Amino acid sequence: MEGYELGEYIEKEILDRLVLACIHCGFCLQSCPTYRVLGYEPDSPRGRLYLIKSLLENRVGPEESVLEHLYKCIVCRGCETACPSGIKYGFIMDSMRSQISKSHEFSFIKKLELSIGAKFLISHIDFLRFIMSVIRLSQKIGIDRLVRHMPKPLNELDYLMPSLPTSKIHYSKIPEIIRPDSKRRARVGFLHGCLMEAALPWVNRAMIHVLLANGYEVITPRNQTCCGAAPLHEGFIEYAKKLARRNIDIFERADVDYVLSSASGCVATLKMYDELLKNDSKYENKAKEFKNKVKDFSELFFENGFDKNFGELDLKVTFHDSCSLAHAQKITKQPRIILNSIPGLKLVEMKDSDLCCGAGGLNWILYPEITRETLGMKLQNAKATNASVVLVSNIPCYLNISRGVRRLKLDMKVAHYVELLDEAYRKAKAYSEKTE
Amino acid sequence: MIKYYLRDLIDKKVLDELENVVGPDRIIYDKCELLTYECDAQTFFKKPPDVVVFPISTEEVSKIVNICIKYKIPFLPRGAGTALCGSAVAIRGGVMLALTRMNKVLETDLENQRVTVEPYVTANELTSLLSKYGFFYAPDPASYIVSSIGGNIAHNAGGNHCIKYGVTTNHVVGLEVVLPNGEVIELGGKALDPPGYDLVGLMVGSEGTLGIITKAILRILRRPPASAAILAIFDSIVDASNTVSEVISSGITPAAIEFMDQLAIIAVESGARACGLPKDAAAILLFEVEGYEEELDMLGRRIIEICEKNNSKSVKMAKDIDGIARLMAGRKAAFGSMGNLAPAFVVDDGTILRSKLPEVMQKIKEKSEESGLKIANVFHAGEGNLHPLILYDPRKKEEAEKALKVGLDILRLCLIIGGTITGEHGVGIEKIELMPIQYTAEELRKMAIIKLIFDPHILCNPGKIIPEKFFMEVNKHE
Repeated sequence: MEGYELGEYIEKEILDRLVLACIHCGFCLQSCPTYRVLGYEPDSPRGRLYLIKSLLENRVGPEESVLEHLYKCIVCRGCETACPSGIKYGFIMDSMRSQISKSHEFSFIKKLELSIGAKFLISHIDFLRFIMSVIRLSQKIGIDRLVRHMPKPLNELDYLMPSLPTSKIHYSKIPEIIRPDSKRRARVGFLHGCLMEAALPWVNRAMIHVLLANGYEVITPRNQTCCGAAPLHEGFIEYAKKLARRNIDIFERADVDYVLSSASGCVATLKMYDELLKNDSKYENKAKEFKNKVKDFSELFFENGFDKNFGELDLKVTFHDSCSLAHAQKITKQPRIILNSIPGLKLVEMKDSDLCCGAGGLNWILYPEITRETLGMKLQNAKATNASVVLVSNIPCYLNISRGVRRLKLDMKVAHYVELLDEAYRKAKAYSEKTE
Repeated sequence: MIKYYLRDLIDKKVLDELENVVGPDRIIYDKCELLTYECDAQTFFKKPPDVVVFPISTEEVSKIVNICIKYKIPFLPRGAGTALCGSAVAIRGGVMLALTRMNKVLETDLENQRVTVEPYVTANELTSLLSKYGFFYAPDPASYIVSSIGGNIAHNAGGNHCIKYGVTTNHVVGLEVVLPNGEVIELGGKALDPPGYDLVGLMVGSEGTLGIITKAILRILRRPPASAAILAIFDSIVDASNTVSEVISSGITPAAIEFMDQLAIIAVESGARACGLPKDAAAILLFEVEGYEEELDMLGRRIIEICEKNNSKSVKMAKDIDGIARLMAGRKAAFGSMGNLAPAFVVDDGTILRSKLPEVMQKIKEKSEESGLKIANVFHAGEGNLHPLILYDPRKKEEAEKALKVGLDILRLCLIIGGTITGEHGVGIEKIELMPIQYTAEELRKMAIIKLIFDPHILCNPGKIIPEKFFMEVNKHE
């Protein structure tokens, strides 16, 4: 039995050390969505680290019963927040998967699923956009409801069918340069994302509007590509590196002060570029420079200040801490403070607000039973707050929670919190225009 | 007389029977997956079970136990696997009943201040459920966010606040237990002080050797109106130790008095639960006081005075809930933070008389210097419940054994000066060799007799608490 030879993403030695930091205390257990649903030790962070440790020590081989648990992980990184020893779990899992995908023969179906999900779709945004417009058309006619009655796992595809906020089906491409009406504060490079731009284009429009309202010039470079999250987490690190290099070049050429995206998952991945390209002599420094420009939207607003001239929104909302924001970027306070400055808005905290809804990665289609359960918990907690809107900051949670709401016919909406900011700004503007 | 059939490999027939009870989804017997069940929160004693089953009801637990009896296979319960003494390690192999699916709060009876829970509810979950009614469940071991109440009961867990509220046994009024013969029995009930032998008390702290707890009726308490935390920083461990005794003898009963030494502080401050403790302090004391808003200032002032008198270089009081919670969370994460310093540790929880604290702390320091192993100290000073964390590298076999030996030596020391070998973590496998020092042979024989009444074939969590030779002695006498 051969031990794992690591060398690509991180050295084996480093991985050894990272894994050894786990002293088996179990503080991570309740933060893990798969453990909360299944109650199986091999599906807990502690159990998975133990399996990885056993792999590295050659106590077990890369058998299906080991790999299954490593792939069942959503990589929500809730355990990183819980871990008192600060274990870099996401980092460990990404490198492990990369090793596995290099040396292990998956079944044909699994390979196909992984390649389509993590490689093909994200690099063919126009194709993705086309699929989404077909879906939207089907929604207009009403045949989308049929999807829910299709055999497993096709019925899970309702995940991709967010309800439209307006009747609009077509969104034209985001112009390359949009200048604010007021004095320019800084130049923001905007990564529109693949699934975000295809499935939730209105969120991108809302974010651009909010940025403009605060005096930022928004540059959306052409030829930008996927942030690389999907290939990175599914074990295609080389592919992720390729995407990273391309984005770094493109945003460098655009000469921007900041790089932003409306999806916190994309931002979290952009912030990992320096680690990803650490051993790339040509890109190492560029990646560091790039990383320093990457900000989550809430960080930018919090650090630079923002226009507090909001209109009143008479709403009760609850905030779901998307994993990519709360766990990967450790941002939880900033969005709440920004939201609380909207007059009339009432933010009610839900139980386990930072517990993953189960939508991360490809789990929603690969392990739909688990996602159903985690989603159930999330909806129950959200419902208990009596809020009319659940706010998120990333795409998978947006899609997942909104399909849950649809399935259970709940009287609740899902929105990216930037949509509310946009609405509040528009209200203020409409009001001031009226009084002028 | 103790015979285990199929010790290492359970044959297909048994697996089929178990699978008939729980179904194919709630059973694990793959060799790789079983590895993750080979140890609890300690990683020194390891042995994977032959099969893990996940029952969801008392009935299923009873059926599984009956199958084990039929084939004379050892079995044991496991909750969150956060025990620190190896009590949840299947040291003789066999069937492990993981109770993670039995996680419901069954009844909340506020009028009578009782809740009924299944074993896998966590204390944290219960307290957050009760907080909206102004109640809480008092026992809060450091692991309370993840450890199961079933496991807390099995180990008679303590916690930060047991100086004021007592340990788990003071809060358990009734139990439903699947006995080692498969019989389901209900002990105690909602009412207090039932007459006759205290069988509930017998079960509490039995570490899963007398049966499997499937339901518990717990006492809950009204949350005090206000609380405050006091953080005192010391340049000397002896000063900090003396302060503890003086606070208690002055007549104040704080809700908690926690002690952390420099190494423990560094571990916490290097991790995700850093709470702003000074890394250059020799020791800190963390007090929590509860009561009405008006009395807190008075209590706080008296504690501060005593700390200052004992050369504390800085004493601060926090009254905001976030501040208190952050400090307490930092303290609770101390064990888990040890990963910042070393890949493994042995922790022993000997209990001593408070007045002996300075003496014992000095001895522990000597032990550390003698052995060359780092020892961090973080413990419930109010009860004199020590927790020396002896750090070692598990990849070095001798170092691991040395760590274990140093731990046992410290416990012997506790015994010599009139303490006990464990306050709350349990005996398990780790401290079994000290039991003949803690107790007389006659006491241990009596315990063996009790165990045999419940479990004549010694199948229920064997190899824990009572050394095997005492069972043989009992049998010889018969």
